Amino acid sequence: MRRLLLLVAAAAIGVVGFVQVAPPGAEPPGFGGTDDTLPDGAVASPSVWYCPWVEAGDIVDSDIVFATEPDVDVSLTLLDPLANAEPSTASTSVVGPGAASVSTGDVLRVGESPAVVEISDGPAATVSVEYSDAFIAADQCVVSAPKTWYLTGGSTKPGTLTQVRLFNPFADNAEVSITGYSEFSIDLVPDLQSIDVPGRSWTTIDFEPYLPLRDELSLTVTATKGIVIPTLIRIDDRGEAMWPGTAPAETWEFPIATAGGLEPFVSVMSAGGDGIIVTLDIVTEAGTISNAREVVLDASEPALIPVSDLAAAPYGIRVRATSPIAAAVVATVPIPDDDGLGGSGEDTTTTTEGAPETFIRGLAGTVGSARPSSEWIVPVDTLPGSQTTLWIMNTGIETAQVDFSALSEGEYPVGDDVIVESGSIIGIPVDVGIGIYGYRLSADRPITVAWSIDGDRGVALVAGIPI
Amino acid sequence: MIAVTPNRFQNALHMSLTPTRHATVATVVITDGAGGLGDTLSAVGRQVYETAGAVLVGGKPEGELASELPWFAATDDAIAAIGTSVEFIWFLREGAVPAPDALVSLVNDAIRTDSGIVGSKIVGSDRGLVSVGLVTDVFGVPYTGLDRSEKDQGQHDVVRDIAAVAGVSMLVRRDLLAGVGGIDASMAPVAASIDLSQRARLKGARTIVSPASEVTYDRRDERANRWREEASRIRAYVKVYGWLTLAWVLPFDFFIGLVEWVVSLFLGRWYGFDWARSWVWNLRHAPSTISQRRHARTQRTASDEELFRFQRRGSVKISRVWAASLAALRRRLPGDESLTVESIGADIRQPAFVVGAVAVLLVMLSARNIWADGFPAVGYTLPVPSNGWHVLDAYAGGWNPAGLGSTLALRPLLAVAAIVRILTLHTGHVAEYVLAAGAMLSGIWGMTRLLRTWSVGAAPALVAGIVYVAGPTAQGIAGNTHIGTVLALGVLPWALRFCLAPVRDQALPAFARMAGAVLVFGLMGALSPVTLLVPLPALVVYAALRFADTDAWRAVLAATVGTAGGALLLSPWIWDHSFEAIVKDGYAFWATSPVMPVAGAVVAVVGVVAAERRVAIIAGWAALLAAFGYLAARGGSYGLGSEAESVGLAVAGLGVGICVGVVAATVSNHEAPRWRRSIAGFGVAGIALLLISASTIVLGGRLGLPGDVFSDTLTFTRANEGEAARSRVLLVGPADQMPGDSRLVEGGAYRVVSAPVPDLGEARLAPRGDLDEALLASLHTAVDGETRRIGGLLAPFGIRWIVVLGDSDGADADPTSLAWRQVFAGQLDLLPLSAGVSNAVFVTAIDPVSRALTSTAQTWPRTGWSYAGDREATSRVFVAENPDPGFGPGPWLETASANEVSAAQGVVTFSADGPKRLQALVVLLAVVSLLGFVMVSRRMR
Repeated sequence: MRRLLLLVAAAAIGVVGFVQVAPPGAEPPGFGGTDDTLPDGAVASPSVWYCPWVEAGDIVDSDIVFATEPDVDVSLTLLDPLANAEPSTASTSVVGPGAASVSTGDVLRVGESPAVVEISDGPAATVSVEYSDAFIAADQCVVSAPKTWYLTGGSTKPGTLTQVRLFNPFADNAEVSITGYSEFSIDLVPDLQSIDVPGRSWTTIDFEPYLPLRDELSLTVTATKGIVIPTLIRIDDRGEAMWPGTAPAETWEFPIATAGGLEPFVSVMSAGGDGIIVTLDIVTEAGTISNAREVVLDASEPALIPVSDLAAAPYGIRVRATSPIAAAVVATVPIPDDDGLGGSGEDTTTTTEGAPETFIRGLAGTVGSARPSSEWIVPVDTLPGSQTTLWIMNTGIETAQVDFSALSEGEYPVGDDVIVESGSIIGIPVDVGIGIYGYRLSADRPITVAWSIDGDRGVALVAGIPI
Repeated sequence: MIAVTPNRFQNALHMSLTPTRHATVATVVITDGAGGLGDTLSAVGRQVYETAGAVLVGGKPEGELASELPWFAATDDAIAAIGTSVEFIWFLREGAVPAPDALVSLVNDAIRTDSGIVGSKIVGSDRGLVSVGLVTDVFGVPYTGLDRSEKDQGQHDVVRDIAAVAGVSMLVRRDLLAGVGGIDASMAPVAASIDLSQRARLKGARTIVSPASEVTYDRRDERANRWREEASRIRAYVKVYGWLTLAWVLPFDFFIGLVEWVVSLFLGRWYGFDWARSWVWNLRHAPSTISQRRHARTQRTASDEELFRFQRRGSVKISRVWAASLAALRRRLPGDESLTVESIGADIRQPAFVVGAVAVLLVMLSARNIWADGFPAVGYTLPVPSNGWHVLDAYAGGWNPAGLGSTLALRPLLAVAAIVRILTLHTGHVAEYVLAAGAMLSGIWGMTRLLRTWSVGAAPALVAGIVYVAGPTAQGIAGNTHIGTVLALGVLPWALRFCLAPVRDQALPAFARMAGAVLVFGLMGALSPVTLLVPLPALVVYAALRFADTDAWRAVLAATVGTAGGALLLSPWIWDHSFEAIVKDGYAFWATSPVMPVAGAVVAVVGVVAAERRVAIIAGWAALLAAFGYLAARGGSYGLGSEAESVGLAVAGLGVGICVGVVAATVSNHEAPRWRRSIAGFGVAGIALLLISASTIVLGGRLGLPGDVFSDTLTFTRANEGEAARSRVLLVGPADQMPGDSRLVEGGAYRVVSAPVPDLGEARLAPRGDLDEALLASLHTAVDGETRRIGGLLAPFGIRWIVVLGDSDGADADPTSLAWRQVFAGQLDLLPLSAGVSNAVFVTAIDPVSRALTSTAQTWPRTGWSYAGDREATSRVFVAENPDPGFGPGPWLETASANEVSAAQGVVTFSADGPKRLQALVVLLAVVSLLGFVMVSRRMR
């Protein structure tokens, strides 16, 4: 009997043990999720800004411009194109609110040298401006590092080059996959499916050999390993423009699309959805032309929407979509139509026999702002022979009063205010050579801010940075 | 022609055999007070070869006969007093009774062979051979080559060269004696004769044995004089060997003596004092030894090789210890026959012998890689720290180096490992091998002893032992990498055996049993604290099942005392820790194929059903143990953790092992009813499965422990000399791939370890200190993406490298590893290491990085478990350990959650916690006292 009881007890305990289940697998940690593609913004903390398109040599120079609200220490690191060479660094302090500009040629003049700008506090923001006698290109540097980037507005039509620079400022090696989207639908190029970008280096890919003769070329850049900062460069015989990759959003605002007599287009691509209705509103100094143009966008095919025929310059554009999209404004020199209807009406011929004709120089592009904000910090640059203009767009239904103050090196900011009517834009010219390198804007309603520079070197459009 | 010299009278019968020249011989009788002097002198007087006279040397003799002879305290004085015409001196020990022709044989052979020293054949009064000359090993340990009971049948009667004579009866040429400096009076008799022979050989003299010269001399108990013989032996070889020979003989001799001491402890002998005293004596007498050495080696005509010619290979001591161990083992195995030559043939035909040999072979194969590589660095199994003294210092209230350090007491396992490390003279991985193989052997042996409690035979018990130490449960424990529990497997059956074994109804044996139980329980708790909780409830159930058995309740009492006493022996660790926290740490779930539990269940059921009633109850109890252990090993849902899982497996293994023994015993019992054996046959299938599973333990050669991970993973830290000693490694990734404990930051596991590989002292992390909190804050900053310069944030912690454990690349990447890699991939002051690394590794671009950094930016490497560098009189050194005022030299400051101390002494010190040190010393004293008590009581028995 005792033996039986013992056996029964042991069996019962053993069965209880047998039916126990394995613990659930451990949840992966909640960090490291750089797949979150957040629009860039200036944050009230230390920040690192990545500026891939920086060059300083015999012909080309670059400025890195940063604006800040608090006192900050700024460290500029320029990577050296020579393999295994230590990066060059420069540091400075900026009394906030203030702004400063560093000519990268003063730090390192060896050609291409992407930059990393570390700012010890915030809100602060950085832009890079690359220029020569023949072109000017500028846009904001980026502060976030998502795994997937959207770059729209490229083209490989005859006379136009599109390049993507993949900048890996980090320790780890990166592996990148690039997918092209054009009027011929998805362009998968095997050579672009696995591109190695070693840590602390960059590589520039010219799309002419891979995807030639594409009028519209949009790209997704996905880092399958590590992180890269891509930027798109578009070059033609009239100039050069660059703009960074973006995250997708349902709304994009471009406070200025027209500058220097260029013909603007809006390039859009779907972030995955089909049948997306994209609507363009044209916002002029006088008011808004709602639903000025509407297209239906599929996942596999980007769209290049001409907008020059919708209103007289200057104007901004608001892009609305039923699903997240990526968008950029590309402005090119107008091509004369045989029927005389094309372009902005200005003469674009280079020369006529015996006498020079008006020559419009320029190629511009910019990413927009995904959300209006009542606080903006805008680093700006001025160059001789070029006009810098600050553009404010109010797409709200109420008039916005905007206080703005110029930020300069060490001087107390000079402030002013301006009224921006509902559904309109306003441009504020910035004097050249007086040491102003930024603006701090504060409004009682959400607004969108950008700036442009145009002149002898061409045109550049630059998005502002919300706080 | 016969030459007759005046005053010399020879027996006519011998005249034709004697040389033409007659020697003059004086007799020196060495008196030691052992008795028999009268017999000796009478025998001298009966010699057919008349001596020139006799003198006494040594202790002052008493008695009428003795008073008639001249007496000298020292040999030199005696020889000086002997007339100069004497050519030979015959040394006889008091009590030696030479045959009438003993001297003439000595003289004849001395002259015939032109030898300097001639020894007699020594036989006992029972005709047992005592000595026919000696050989020694290289350490001067004498070896007769005789069996203890060997009788004299003339089998050794040949004149031959020998290393030394026994010192009972020897004839020495007087001029030789003077030339070699006489007999060393400071030496014990046997060693002194060996010493004399060796010095004579260096001068070119021969030492022979003359079997025709027979002396009766009974063996005496020399144990009282053992240390003196040991000391004299060392002095003897130091005098004669060249420095090159001494360079290896001295350390080896020291080590062999140590081994003999330790092993003899288990044989019930205590040689510790002899060993220590002999070396101390030689240190004290080193000047005179060196002086005599100079004399001995001056104008020598032979080298060390000439001495080696008459020595045997190997170590006599080791051979003796080995033989004694085998004999002791044999006594503990079932069977009444002692280990004799006659019994060997019968033994090797016994199943127990075969199974035992298989068990030993299994252990040797299963632990083979530990001999070469030590413990693998994986999980909670990490290499034993290289310096045992540092570990003991840390254990006794010193600094715990795990993570960023703490004052929390180290696990007692570290103290045990450190003691073994010290006892093995810090030699390679011997300590790890001794621990691992010793535990396995001990487990098998312990199971045989435990089963013997219930009269289970040796062969079934050995099978049970193999299943217990190598079966699925043991491999499960090893897979969990809980090395302490793996080692505790070797003690657990002994703990039960100590409680269950019958004890005589006398006070001394009872107390000795209790003392032994406390020691065994303490050792078991030291290896694996949770196992301390096993025997008492197990024995309570056992006693309940055998309610009327007083021995069972006595076992409960012993277990109670053992548990309480053993727990106290875990001081100071036990006061810093909670068993509940240990038991609940992690999640217990033993994932195994259902086949093995089913096999175990079959064996258990068969054991209960088929065994004879009395043993069947034991099988039922064991089945209950196995079931409880199995439940505990999978009881994570009840709050049990991974260490409880390992202990549960140990209990399950113990239960299954006992059932295996019972079933195997039933099957092999030819007197059991047929039906019982038939049912037990079913259990054989289960045993076969368990044995097949156990045999797989030999594959890895690491007792089933997983392969080394961190030695390879962190090899890169050795690339730049000195960096490993100055820096730490931050490991991130899945928690189950970490070495030992880990911490979490936002769901991601991390921990800090020393380079080039963490040791066993770093396995268990203490609660977070201030510097740990600062590290956590820095990691929060990194994982939240608030910094791109984590290298600079980690530098103050001495962290130079970051290693992402697990696969962080490709489609099959572990999500946790990938998340961590993303964090560090996006940093600007880290550089990736790609050459020769198996994981994603980042190295900081910050310089300098050091665990101890002076205010002048000098890096101090970790030396042992502290830091040392160049002295800087006015500088300070910042020590990246959790802040504690114990750090010095002062003044001590807490700076940035770390320690700032003076760099003036060139070393960072840590003052041990007084109460903890005291507790550790009390424990040491208690262990020594209990051990001594147990041994003394064993000898008295």
